Amino acid sequence: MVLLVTSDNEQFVVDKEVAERSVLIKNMLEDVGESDQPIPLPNVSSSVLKKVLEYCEHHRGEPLPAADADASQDETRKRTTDISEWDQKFITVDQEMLFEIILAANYLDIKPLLDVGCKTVANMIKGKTPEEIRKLFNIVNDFTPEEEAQIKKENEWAEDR
Amino acid sequence: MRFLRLSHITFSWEPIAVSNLRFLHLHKCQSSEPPLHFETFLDVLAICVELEELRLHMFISTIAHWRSGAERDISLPRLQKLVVGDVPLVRQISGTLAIRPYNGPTIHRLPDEILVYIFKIFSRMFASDQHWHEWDVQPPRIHACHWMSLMLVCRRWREVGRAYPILWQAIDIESNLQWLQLALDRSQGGALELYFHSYPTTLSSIPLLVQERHRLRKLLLPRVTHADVPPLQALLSTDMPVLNELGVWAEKYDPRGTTPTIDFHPAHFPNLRRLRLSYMGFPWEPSAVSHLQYLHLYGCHSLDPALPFERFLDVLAGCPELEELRLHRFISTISHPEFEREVNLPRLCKLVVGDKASLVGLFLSSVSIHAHTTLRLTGWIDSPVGTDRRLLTSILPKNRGKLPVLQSATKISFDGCGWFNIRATSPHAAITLRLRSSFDPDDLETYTGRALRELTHIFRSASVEDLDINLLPNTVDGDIEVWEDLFAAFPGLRALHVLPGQEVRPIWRALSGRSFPLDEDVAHALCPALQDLSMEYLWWDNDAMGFIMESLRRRAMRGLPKLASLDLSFYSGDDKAADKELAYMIPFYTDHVRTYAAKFDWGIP
Repeated sequence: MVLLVTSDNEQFVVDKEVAERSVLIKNMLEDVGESDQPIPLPNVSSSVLKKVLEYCEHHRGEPLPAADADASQDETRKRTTDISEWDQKFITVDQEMLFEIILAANYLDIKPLLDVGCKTVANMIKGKTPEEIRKLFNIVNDFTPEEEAQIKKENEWAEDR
Repeated sequence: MRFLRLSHITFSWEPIAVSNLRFLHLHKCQSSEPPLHFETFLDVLAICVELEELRLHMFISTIAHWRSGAERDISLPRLQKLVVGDVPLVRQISGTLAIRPYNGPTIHRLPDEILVYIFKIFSRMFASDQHWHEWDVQPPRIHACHWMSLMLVCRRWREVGRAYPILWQAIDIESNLQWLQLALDRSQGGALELYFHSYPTTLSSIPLLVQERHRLRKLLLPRVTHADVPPLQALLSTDMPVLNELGVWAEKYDPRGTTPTIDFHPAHFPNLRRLRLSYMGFPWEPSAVSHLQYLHLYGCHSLDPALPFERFLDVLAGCPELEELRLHRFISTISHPEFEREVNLPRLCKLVVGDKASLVGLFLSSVSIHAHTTLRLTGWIDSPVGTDRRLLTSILPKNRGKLPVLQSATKISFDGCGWFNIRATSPHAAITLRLRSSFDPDDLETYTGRALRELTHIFRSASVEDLDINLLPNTVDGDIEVWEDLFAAFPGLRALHVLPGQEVRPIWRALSGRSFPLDEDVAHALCPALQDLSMEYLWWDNDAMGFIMESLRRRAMRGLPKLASLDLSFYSGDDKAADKELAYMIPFYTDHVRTYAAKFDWGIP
């Protein structure tokens, strides 16, 4: 078992197999060796870690992406834009939690979870105009008209047929 | 420099190295000599006011006197993320830094690298929406920069889009040279993957591309006529030291013109691993193929018209890295194809061959096929079928044991609509057999019954559980034996779907069992494990349900268990009155049918 301590000082006792879905934790455990020391996760709050561990528990035993995955494997991972039914249900959370999960997945180095989060954001953006995206994420349009015109021109170059 | 990632090296922690950084990731790096003191470390860190993300994994413990710590309050105003991977030190170092909370939109909390990843996934979503079929000669457009529209959202997204070369390294080029120039600039010297879609633009781009040839990793050119190929030689004859993938697609041969070709001298493309060509002359030589992992020759022919089959196989045997091989009408351009030998391609995962049916079979006889290799085979018949000709079996080697997937298939679908297609899958591989007639496309339909017999023969040893048969109306004669043999070959069948055309009684009779005496027993039953049965386009007439019920009853009399599901769709030739009768009559049968099938669904297509 592994003891994880979150940024709000909550402790989680987790199966090593589940905790090691995180490459960061796996590396830490390898670096430290056999030890009862708690592993502090200063960038993850307890509510987020709970969700992350739910994901890790569900995907326990599945093959981990190799640390030195070659380009083709990586390509395959990126090419797949589908999200499994369970993962879709899992990631149906509010925006705040979605981004927290993505940040946690990135920090903890859990690539499949990072994929699920990023695909979800990409799905949310797909088919929307820039204005709709701003509205969705509460982003302010901080362009000058000139800047906007320049980007539109570059976009037209890309689509020129 | 704004972004720095280092791993397992000695790093000099000095202002000149870090003060301008926005992102710093040191993974198992060591501070260099003279020993870096913890105070100095913090002093330098304090001037990194641009820093947005700092990741230090096993770095702090390499700093001298770190244990003494330092009560310092360092403010990094733009720092959004701090990751420290030194277990005993995390609290200590975290306590020395004041991280300003971020109050903008929550999505802005995602670091640039994640935003870039989202941009890439966003682009790929458009690519995966394309209607692209595996048999298509050219690959789908996967490099279109759909993410560019996201640069219109806000300044930060625009800056991220501009700053990351990885977003500009793989692009589709339509007809705008400014776009290419923009990508060349913003890719900042990184390797390039370019897919051109316009010949004039390609020609105009040649001077630029020659200039950048040292970083061309992938070059896919547009489909061109034979006459258009020679001007491309100005590009194709230059050395491209990192070129990994090349695609050149000419249109079909112009008999009056000369055949274009490319010089595959090793000095030109020393790192070429993936090659796609269509309708070009190809030098089947070790220098052109021995290092390849992927080779697709579509309608190409051997430059040496006298290339013996033996030499062809010798060269192929020298391609140990080959993972996917696609040869369309290439083997028939080789002379004397009677030689047989065994070529082992240990890494081959997919083999796609299309040629005269007998030549496909001959080629397969000469190659070792592993259990995990997926096969896509297309055989053409270019003369009348006649009565004694082999159909689908002519595509296969005489020794079927060479194709393990034939024995391991668990799922088979047969499509006899016009041409014959069989697709069989096993847990680890798949095979597709396609028979085409270049003599008379309608000729094949006449032989659907014979093709079904061959299917039975080809997969007789396999433990097939799922069978799907799609036929055109009345292409199989009323002979029950075709269906009896088919069902008898697959005793483990659990799911059967038939789109039978209009004459279905032989199928139902066959499902009843091989004989009809009153002392019927399970030994004569066919498909005893059948669970799910569905049949489409059953012609509706007065006794349509009669023979279905008769068949189900006989199966029950032989002691076979109930079906889990029975799904029937009836067809009445768009006769409204018949549809009405059907809708009235079927419910009367429902209870009775449910004595033979746990779930019964029916409908009108």
